[in-house]
Amino acid sequence: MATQEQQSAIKGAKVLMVGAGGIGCELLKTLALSGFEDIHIIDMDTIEVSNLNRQFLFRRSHVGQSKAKVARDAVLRFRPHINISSYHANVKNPEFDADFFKQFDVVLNGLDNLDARRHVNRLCLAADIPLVESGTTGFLGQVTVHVKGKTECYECQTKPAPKTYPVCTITSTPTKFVHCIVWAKELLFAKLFGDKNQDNDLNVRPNNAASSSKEREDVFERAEDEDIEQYGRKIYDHVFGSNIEAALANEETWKNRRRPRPIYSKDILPESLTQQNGITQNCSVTDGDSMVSAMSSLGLKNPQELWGLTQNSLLFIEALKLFFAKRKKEIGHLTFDKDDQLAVEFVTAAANIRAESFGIPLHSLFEAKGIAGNIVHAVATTNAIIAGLIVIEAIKVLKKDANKYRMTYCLEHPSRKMLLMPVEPFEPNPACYVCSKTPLVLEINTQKSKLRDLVDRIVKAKLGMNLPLIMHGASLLYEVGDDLDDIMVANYNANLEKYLSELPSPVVNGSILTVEDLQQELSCKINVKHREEFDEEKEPEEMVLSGWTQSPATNGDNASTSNNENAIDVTESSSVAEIPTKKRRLSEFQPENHKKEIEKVESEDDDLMEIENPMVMSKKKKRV
Amino acid sequence: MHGEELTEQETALYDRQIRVWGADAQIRLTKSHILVSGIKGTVAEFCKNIVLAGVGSVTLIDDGTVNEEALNANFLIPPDDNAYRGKTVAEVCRDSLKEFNPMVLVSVEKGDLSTLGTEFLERFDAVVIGYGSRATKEAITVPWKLIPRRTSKLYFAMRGDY
Repeated sequence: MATQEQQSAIKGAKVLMVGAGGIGCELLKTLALSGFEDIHIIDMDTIEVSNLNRQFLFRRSHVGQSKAKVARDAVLRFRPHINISSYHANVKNPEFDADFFKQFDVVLNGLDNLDARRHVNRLCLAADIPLVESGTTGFLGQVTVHVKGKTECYECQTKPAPKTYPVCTITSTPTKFVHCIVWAKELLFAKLFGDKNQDNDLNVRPNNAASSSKEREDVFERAEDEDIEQYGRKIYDHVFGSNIEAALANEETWKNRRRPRPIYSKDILPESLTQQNGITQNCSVTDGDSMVSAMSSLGLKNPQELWGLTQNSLLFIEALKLFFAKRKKEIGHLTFDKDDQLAVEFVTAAANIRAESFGIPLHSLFEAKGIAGNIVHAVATTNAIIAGLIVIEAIKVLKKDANKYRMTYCLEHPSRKMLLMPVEPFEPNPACYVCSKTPLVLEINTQKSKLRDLVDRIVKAKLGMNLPLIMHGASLLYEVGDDLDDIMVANYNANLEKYLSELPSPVVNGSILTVEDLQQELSCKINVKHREEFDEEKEPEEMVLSGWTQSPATNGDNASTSNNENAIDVTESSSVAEIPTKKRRLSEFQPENHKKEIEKVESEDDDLMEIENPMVMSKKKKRV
Repeated sequence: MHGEELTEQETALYDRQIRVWGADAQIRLTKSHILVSGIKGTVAEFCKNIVLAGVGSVTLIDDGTVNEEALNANFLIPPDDNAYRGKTVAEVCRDSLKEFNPMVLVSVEKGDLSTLGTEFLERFDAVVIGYGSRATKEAITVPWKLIPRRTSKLYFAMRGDY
């Protein structure tokens, strides 16, 4: 039980939780049971069925409602006299500024994306409030403590950026199934069902044949009365047949690569599907658009089953037909959503046919959905463990027990009989541009890059700024805000379209830009270096940002993804950090005595297992 | 009740955890039966987790009445007189647990743990003992060892010296 000291620290504390999902539900429960009496929660999401296997504060009847609000109501039921305030909002909203954060004694994160984590990190630094970070993926998890000036901030060690793939790999030379998924989702699905005005690389070929692009455009447009099945087959033949043939025409591409084979519907599917498959005529649809499913109408039951080329082809045509037959109004406005069954079916089928063409192994719908939807696998127990650890660290923070702060990693399998690995936090990284204000260097072609490119790819994407402001000397080049007048906005918009060297205050080699986000209270200096050429494959964005020390603790993966970004952005990074191997004030829990205790207690019988009394264990630890 | 494949409802609900341990493991879970005796603290957490995971059934043994200690240590018991009056700890927990996952059969067994025989214990794939005395521990170990099937587990999560 908590000591007197702990109890008073807890009772008077005001705590902010960011996230009311997997970790959030467990955390709120644990905080309440541990005696916390003033808890605030921010979460912008609503409850979904797939949450219910672990977010136990929610019921089926709550699907669609605010997670923050329902979590609050659920916990108040078993702790009616504590204060819980819920905010159904995005933590990046301007209302949650440094002043808002200052009212709390500690901030506890239960987020599922890097972007929000970085944002909260900066707000906590700005407000000078300790942050306890966390993350889980399946059986893995970790909890880390960040106190300004004392420990690393969340961004002192660069986290792996979301994985992206070069455009040409996606459009022309896929080698992995994920490339096929990205193609099916970001190109084909977007082309057929998404915003028509969006740029689409679908027909990009290295050495473009002279044949009119107008012709190609017409293929994807469906004529007013065109038979849906005919249209579907036409699309099929175009993307899996003639496009592949055209690509094959370019010998250079395939010199050292496996050649894809063109696939035509006439070779795979029977002449007319409506004759063969009577079910297609009367779809088993009763409950509105969201229940429409190609799998259902084809009689396919098991999403874990691996279907072949024929099944996938049937699925492709059927899904396409159902979109046009039952969801016509949505066409032109759709974006891929992993909870949209028909979209998942279409993307799975398209990806599989493409995979077949390129000799890549096919995947089940279940697997494809996970990849396309960036689904993070999750179980209740890991979240429960992590929540417990968060509260333990929070209590240390409230008691200002700095020597006891730990970064704790939850392993998948015990190492030396231990599942949890505590490690002392590192000191702040003196070269961290977030907490230590190190200047950065940007290599860019100042004559060929526009301000817009710099804002999107560097300031927002790389630096993670939400509402940026860019200055060159005394000249304000760009800013975002609600209180700007029309003239200023027009001026900034005009600047966005200008090349850097042609801005009112020209940005050239040697220029120093100041980039700020007032909400995050983050200010960076960027030294600009003009560079003429960039490697198309390795530096497709034509910009290279450097200057902060990549910590050696992160593995080789980071190096390859940080410079290799382009328009096609794929998976969200795993929420679990790499366990740091770099040792800078590292101390490990001594396992020797602990091991002896376990051996004494284990019974001879292998089917009798005893869970060592935790109270007894900790007493023995002190004696060491 | 469960065949060799998961139902559509199960696939939808258990999607995220099936991605961790696979469909086969999930199917085996839905066929398992767990016995829990002595519901406090850690064991209450365990009950929550195993029900969320989607086991076939959970049988609870705890004839204790709801007292202040139980209210503090067990979040499955709502501090509402009307909810727990006249019920045992096991009965109140059963009502709460059923809500976490309507697909799991949660039931109550009355009587002392030490009176359980081999026949009764045979039904279960895992047994978790939350609190009791040394005598309890011995009482259950004896019939347990008589069960011919050796693939199931008996867990003791007990506090204090016993």
